[in-house]
Amino acid sequence: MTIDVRGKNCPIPVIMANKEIENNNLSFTVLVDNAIAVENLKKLAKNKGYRIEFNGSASDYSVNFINDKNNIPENNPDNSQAGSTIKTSLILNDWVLFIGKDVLGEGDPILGDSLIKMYFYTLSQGNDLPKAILFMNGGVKLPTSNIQVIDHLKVLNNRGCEIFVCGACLDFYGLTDQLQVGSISNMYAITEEINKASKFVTL
Amino acid sequence: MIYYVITFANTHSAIMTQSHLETYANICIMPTLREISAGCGISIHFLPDEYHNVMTGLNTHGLDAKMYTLYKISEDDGKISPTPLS
Repeated sequence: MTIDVRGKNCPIPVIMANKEIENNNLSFTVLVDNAIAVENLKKLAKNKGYRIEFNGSASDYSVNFINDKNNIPENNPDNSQAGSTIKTSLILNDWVLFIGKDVLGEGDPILGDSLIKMYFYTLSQGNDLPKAILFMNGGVKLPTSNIQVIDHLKVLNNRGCEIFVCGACLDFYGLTDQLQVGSISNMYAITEEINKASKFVTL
Repeated sequence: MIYYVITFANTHSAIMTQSHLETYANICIMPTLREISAGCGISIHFLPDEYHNVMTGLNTHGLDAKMYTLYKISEDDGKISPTPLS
């Protein structure tokens, strides 16, 4: 089965692919026209226990989703080994951090810029790390343009934090090519991260 | 681990100095260590390799030396030992 979503904006390709997964379709192909959609589909496949084969370039990609039933999703409760891994993860850092602007707090933006830099410095040096950090709206300016925050995010990323950056927001601000750390994501994946976490912190 | 921090008499001096020093050295700002002050302050952090660049930047900044203090920080197994240098 082939789903042609060329010309459709994020997150339509992910939504359409996820529908096939929910319908237990073990093998299908998604046609998309941009690299960001390919990255988002890869993430979806990984989360859902599918493997990916893709080919194409520039503006024409073919992404094959394959589930040979050996790839059991990490959140499958029937998989005891995966379950115990997740459980450990839940105890250690089952929270996500949402950043919707490029400063910390309301008030003076210069002070807010200093505070957000110090926040990420402190977070990167600590032991209670979030499972994921989500950047949307003006928050996407941090992993693209704020040199100090980028350095701290790289430390966090190396320590295991996943960093998701809203692709639509990057496009809106013209920053898509300037992402320095993390991966381009979409509302669908970001909402999933929020829903899965036991604690959700927004600054 | 050895690094340096500069603390300031007020927040405005810290922010202005940070902007100035960024053009001279690889620095970042951090909360003032609890071992130095219980208050909520802004400090500048840099590694030993950047020492001379930071000093050059400070000398061209024109900030009154009374407005800041330079510390050498030794961190060993979570224990932080600050030594004031100015």
